[in-house]
Amino acid sequence: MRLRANAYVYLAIMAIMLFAILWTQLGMKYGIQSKLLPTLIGSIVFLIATVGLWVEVRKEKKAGKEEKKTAGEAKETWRRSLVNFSWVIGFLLGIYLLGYTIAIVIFVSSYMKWLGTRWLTAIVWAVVTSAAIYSAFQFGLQLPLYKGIIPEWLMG
Amino acid sequence: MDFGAIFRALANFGSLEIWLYMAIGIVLGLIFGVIPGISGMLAIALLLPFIYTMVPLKAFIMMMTILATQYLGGAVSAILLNIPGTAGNSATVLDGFPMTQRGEGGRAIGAAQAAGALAHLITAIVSLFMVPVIIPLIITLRSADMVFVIVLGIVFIGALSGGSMVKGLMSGGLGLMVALIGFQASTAAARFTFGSLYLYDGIPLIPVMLGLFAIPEMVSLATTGGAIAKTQVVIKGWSDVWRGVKDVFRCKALVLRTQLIGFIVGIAPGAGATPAAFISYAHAKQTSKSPETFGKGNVEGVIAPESGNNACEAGDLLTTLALGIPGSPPMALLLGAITMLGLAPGPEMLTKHLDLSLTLLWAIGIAAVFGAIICLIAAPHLSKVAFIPGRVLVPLVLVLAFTGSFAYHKSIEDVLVMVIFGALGFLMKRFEFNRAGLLLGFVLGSIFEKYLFLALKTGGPFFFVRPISLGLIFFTIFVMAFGPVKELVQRRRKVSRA
Repeated sequence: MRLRANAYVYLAIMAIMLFAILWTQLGMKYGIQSKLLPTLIGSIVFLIATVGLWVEVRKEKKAGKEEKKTAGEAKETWRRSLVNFSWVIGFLLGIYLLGYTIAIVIFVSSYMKWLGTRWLTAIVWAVVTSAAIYSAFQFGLQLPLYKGIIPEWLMG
Repeated sequence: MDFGAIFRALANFGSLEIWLYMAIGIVLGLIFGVIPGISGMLAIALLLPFIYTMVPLKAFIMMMTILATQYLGGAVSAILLNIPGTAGNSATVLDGFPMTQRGEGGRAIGAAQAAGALAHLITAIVSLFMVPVIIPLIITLRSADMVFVIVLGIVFIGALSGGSMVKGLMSGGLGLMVALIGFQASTAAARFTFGSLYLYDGIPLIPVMLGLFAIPEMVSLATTGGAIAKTQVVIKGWSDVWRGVKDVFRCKALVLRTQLIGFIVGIAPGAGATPAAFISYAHAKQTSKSPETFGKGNVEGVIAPESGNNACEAGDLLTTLALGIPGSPPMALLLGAITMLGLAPGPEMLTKHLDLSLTLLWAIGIAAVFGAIICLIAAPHLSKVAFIPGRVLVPLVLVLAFTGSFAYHKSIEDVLVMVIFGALGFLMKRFEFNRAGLLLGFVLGSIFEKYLFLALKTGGPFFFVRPISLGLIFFTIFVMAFGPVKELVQRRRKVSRA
């Protein structure tokens, strides 16, 4: 029997809770006061996830043809969402490597272009945004932005 | 009962600085309300990293005014563009847009703004006078009772804020688990830190909020793509707008009834503005002399939901302040802000910080009146904000979220935490889990543990054998069991009929 995505989510939550309970009980030398709540909440969430999984498996048995029709559409939206989320991760990596000022310019211009803006507009927006953020942090909040490991390494 | 405190709180509005923060809050609330796909909640999440060092009164006034005016802004796009600015304005579309199509957009805007402002003002004043009455009741709550108040809050958010109850409860539980990461104050034990120094202080709130709400919303907006609004808007003139305002005073009884509905729904934790608006709409249709005109541009179909959703806010705030149980997801965010600004959510807000709490209730009423006036004057221009294309909005909001999470502790780890919670929020949105429930569990986790140990110390293992605690336990079980039992009964009836 092929499980639906929801069922895997419940299984993942059950695994995380089981790990948390075992870690609390066996892995660390906590006192009873520190063990109580993680064990209690972990067990409750584990039980609820089990109920959810049971409901999901029962639903799976009853699932009709209609669901399969919309599955293709949902898959496409899911794929596009994942691509958009990968831009977020790319931005995080950009900040870590190049720092905020450079990463903002690259991220805003390329993401806007990818979303359908013309290059010139995207670059102007990117430069203005980066300059505005830099000024607001550097001069307004007097809070230097993260410089990134590559510029810091280059500057020694 | 100290009713004088109500008027002393009003004196806070004598400062020009407070009006400045209110003005910023009103403008942000209207703009974030008008733009479909984002809401006042996102505005608060983005604002928090920059205001957490502010004096609590100013910071809260700004946040409250954002929440109070977002539905007023949302009504503009619901009526003129057929897209609700916020979920709370969904019912307004039903009759608001047909009125615009008929050339009565101005009248609908006038009615929506007047109904919204009146709802906020009246329910805020009612709440203000309820506070001194509530305080003696709140003071009787002991640690044991507070443990079950928190459990009830999580169950309410899980059970009533839409979607599956199993997922809602799990979300709350996950939030509580995340709150346990870090140093435990009473024992100095480091739980789930896995040797990381960063985790010793626990997971910071701002990256969690930004991750759970800003990132999934932006990913979803980018996925749907394109400009949010496409049609152009025309409002005929002032006389039309004024006619809508007069409609509200003509339907006095309906306005008062729907305000009461909204206020009660607001007080009940977990529900929020959307159900309040739909219940009010259904009530207006049921009691109308011409129910057949609903959905075709009946002004009562605009007045009722706008009264209901706006009346919700004061009731929401009252429960959030008095018990520390947020009435709706935006209030869960406000609750987070309360802890972040160094205050303890719950009864202390009505005892130690009474002046602040009363000022916030005043702020709701005052901000809504000014917000409505701005909307009435600038509705056609304001609606243009909804034309900002997603391709411009998404990168800018993401940049703000990334810089905001860094600004909190000047730590790049916070940005990583935000992205991790962004991924979690993204998956939760995808699989219809309750993000507000997780946030609530996270915010209340540490005080839940504090109250639990206090209760165990003072009352032993049977600390819950108290009338209030037992009452709360039974009520929690009732809330959890109501939905499944009702479903079972309905299914059996269907089977017996067949």
